[in-house]
Amino acid sequence: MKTVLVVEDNVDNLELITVILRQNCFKVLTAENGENGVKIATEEQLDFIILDIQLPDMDGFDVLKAIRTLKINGDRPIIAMTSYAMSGDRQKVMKAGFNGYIEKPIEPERIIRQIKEVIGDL
Amino acid sequence: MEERKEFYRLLVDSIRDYAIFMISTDGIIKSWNEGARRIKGYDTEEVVGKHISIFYPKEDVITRQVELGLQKASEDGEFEDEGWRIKKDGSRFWANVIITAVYNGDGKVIGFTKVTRDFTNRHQGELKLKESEERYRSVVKSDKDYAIFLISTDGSIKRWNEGVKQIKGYNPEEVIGKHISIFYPKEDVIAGKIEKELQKAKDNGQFEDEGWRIKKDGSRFWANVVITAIYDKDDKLIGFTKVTRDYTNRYRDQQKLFGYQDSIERANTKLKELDQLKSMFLASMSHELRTPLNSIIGFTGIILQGLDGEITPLQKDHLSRANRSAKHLLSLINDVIDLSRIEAGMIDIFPEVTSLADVIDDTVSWVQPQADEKGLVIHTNTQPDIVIEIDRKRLYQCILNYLSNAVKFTETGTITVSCTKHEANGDVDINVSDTGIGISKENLEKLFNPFVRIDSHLRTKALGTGLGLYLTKKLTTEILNGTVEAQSQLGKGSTFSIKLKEDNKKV
Repeated sequence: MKTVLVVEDNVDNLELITVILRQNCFKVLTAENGENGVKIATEEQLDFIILDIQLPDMDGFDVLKAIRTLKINGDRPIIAMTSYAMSGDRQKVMKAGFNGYIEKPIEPERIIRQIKEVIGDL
Repeated sequence: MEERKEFYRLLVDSIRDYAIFMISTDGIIKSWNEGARRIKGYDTEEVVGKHISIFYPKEDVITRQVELGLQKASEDGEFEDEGWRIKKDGSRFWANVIITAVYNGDGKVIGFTKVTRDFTNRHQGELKLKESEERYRSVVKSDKDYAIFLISTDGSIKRWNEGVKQIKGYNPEEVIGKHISIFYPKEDVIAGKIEKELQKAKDNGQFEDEGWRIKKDGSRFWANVVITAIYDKDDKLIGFTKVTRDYTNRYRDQQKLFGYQDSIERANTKLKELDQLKSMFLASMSHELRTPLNSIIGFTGIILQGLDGEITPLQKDHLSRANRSAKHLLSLINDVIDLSRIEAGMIDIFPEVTSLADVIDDTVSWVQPQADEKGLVIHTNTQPDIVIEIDRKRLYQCILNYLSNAVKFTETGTITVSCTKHEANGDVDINVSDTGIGISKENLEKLFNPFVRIDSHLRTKALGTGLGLYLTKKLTTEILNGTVEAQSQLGKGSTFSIKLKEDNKKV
């Protein structure tokens, strides 16, 4: 079973993603802010990470930077998640070093496909 | 004696610029010279023996000017006159004429010499000069809009015109001899402004200034002043002319204008602030409005998928309605936000290298579930692939709009998405064709207007925002540098196109 960390401040959305991922046989760890996210990534062995861009404390780009410096998990695929994005978000996140990109609203069938496209056969 | 006479005759004959001829006491022409021939046009044999009145205008002959001239010459010995005379060809010339009496040994007048010169050119020059002098004099004297006066080198007033009274309120005799400082505000006098102005006029020939001046009654007016240095023929400064105009009204208008400008600038600043506030509002609203909707769409979605356990068909039906409505509301919000961004000029363009086949595949996979549900087949015709530099997300949005419309309005048959490149000009067309209900010609024309909903007899009323095609058109023309087009036949199907201009592409 793959382990995924989801960092998302909106509890409803976090619950939604968690349910979908668990149903699809992922082990899900959650964090509701950037700081906790980095803390978990420092301590737990992860297969990939889903990161909301708009977080209350530090934004997704800062969290990404912090995780990339970690000994463990520093090289894991990290997927950005934003609500229906403005043009340019896609470019911005890919340029910043994210491995993939998913848009809200989260829809069960779509999100799994998008995740698998990024992580492949991890 | 005879020799001398002959000498004079030859001399007179050869003079070309003067008409010199002898006339008898009663005005009969006795002799004629070369100058007379040149000036008047007659040959000797034509005029000798005729009366000099042939040279005079009719009105002079009638008023006996000829006889009067001769009479004066015989009384005073000489008579000089200027006036119009007639040439042989009837044309006039301005003549200077000197008639001199010739006496015999007894002092009796035996005839006259008459010397005539053509002064036409000189006369016309004089006339012009006189005219302009007169005009100038009358202008200076009577012009009430300009105060014009002559001042000495040290600034004392020598002469002035009517306008001075009008503008400054003084009578001429009150100020002649006074210094022009009486017209200046005290602070200017103390600051030495007048001396500076005169010095500048002296240095540069002219000096222009605007500022407050004082009337006789002590009130101020806003004056435009031009001081011009005057020199005599030896280039020595002899004084100045000073032309003053009352620009008070103009000045007030200007001040008012500055005031308006000021308030416009303030309003502009305020507008900018409001605009910024609106952008912030839009940005935060878009987030705040979408978040709960995402939750509704997501959770109804997972229940519908059976992730929370089995649900009854009725529950599924009702949840589907909720899910569909939430999605509809979300797309409405998205469209409105996009449109307001475009209309506010706030939308940014992010061109990136894009494979059209990829974008089309993405759009197809998005609508595939709905198409499957209706049993529609979606074909794509994207080979060879076209790669262009374009705002990928906006292009995706436009194609997706066409495609979801095609799915919505087609009951049976196929939908085809294709892209073609015109080799001739490099333009790229993206076409979405369907075998759907089609659109009538009159509806086709208003299709790309906002909030257009065309009534259809579809079994299920298709949900839409009424903004989709309008937004697609706006995005295509303003972001993608292209145009939109629609062709349709009622009952047969439609083709919607995005035509991208060549200069979009750098790849």
